[in-house]
Amino acid sequence: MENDYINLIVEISVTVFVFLLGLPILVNQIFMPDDLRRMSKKNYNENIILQICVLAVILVAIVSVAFISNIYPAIDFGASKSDIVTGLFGLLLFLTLSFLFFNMFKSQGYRAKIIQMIRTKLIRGIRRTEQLDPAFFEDLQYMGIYSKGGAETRNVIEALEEILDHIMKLRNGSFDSDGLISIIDTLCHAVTNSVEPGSKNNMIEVLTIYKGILMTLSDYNTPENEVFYGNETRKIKDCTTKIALSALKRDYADMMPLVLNVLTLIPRSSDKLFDIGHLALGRGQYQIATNVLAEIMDRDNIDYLTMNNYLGLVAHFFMSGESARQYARRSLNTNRVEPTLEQTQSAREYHYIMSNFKTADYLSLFHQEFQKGPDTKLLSEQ
Amino acid sequence: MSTAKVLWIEDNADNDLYHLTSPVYIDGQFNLDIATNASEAFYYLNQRGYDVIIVDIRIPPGKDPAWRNKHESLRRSNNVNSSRLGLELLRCIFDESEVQPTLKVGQNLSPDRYGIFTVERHDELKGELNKLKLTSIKYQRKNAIMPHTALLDFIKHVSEENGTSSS
Repeated sequence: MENDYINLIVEISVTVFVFLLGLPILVNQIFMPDDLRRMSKKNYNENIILQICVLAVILVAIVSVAFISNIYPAIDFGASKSDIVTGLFGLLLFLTLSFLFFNMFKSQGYRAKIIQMIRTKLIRGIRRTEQLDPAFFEDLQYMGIYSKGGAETRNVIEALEEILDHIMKLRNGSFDSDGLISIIDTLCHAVTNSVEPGSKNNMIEVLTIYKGILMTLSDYNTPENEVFYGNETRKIKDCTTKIALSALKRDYADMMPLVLNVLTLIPRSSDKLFDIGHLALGRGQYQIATNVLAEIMDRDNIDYLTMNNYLGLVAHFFMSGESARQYARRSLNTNRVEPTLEQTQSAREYHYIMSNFKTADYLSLFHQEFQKGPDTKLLSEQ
Repeated sequence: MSTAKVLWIEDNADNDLYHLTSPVYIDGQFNLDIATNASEAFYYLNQRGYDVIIVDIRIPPGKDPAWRNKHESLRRSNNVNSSRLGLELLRCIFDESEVQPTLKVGQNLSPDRYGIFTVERHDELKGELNKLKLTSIKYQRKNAIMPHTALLDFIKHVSEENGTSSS
């Protein structure tokens, strides 16, 4: 009678365990984001395998007791065998339900939890090796690109910001340059290349982070170690422009002062300002274009480009209707610039070399138009 | 260059207050930098000389640990100034107990270059400003019905008063 009971328990235990063998796959599917499941080089399911191992040990114990009870009934355990099997079965069932419950519980906010896990592992790696673990970082990059715009992307941005803090603190300013550039790039991709609609707040957050990096680089800059003029700054310049162009396409016009603010912190950024102003003008976003024109003159002079980008943008204004032309004239007056033929030709040459053929053509037309003088029909030009 | 340098310390400059910047750019007389928090403001004030500095009173601390700690300690002590970090910024610059100059750029230590552009009522700030001997600092209140040229007009006012106006 006792053996029948023990054998029944064994059968049930085996059934429960067979069901459990599917658990890692089930959990993997509900816990792991699709993109990571397909490409990650890392194993995020170590704990689940461990849980299955614990349950396997209990199952082996149950089967062993049943085996002894059936084949060697004389062996005494010092307690009733059916009690031992019942106890082990109870433990098996309890652990199974607990693991299921906790895994289901963990599946809530799984994306955020995976991001936390990767962040923790990356920070641990930075402390140990002073470098980013490329495999984990690649996973975080994928999470950034394939996250939904808004809260999901913000989680990745926050994780990257924390990792960034650790990178910047490394070796007192002599940080892992490649790691820093990768973070700058990933932040940019997270808000511009995302397959989901972007979020303006995330773009603003990334620009604020860029501003923070520039401020830190500027603090670390010395004549012996000119970190502020390194590849990191150039990467920020490129990424800020990408974000600005992406924002323009999504009509996030009101974040442009911040974009301009970041770019004006960066040396040699007048070419990027020109790109933004040019696109804004083309899309009829005049407010942005005028903001850019107001900033670009100073940048051009600092960048020793002798007004090439400024005049290029002025030429576009001249070809964008009467009011735009009026503003361009006003800008020239305020800046006390009366472009000579040589200056215009120099700007034309510069834009021709840069393959900005339309701008080069407009510069030729601009000089002719400028020579005609202001339109007296417009009151404010009288 | 003929344009005057202006620093606007304002955390909402990239959102609802964006329309205020456009007249400043169109006017062409001023070259505008924007700091969106106390850390950035302190950085700009130590890097560049400004003719006009417009300060908002309610600004976030930003990334600098020193400002974060200051904000956190004020918040923990339930100090009303925990969200008024603009006031703390002014205190940091104009505190007379400091022996060393508080900013690397001496030009920015002149109180007549500063203006306060905030939602706070003037009488709420008066006591604190008096303690800092900033009784004559220019003040303009932000509100929902201010004209779109409010910022430009205020910058011009501060600029004319301190003699840095280019017109």
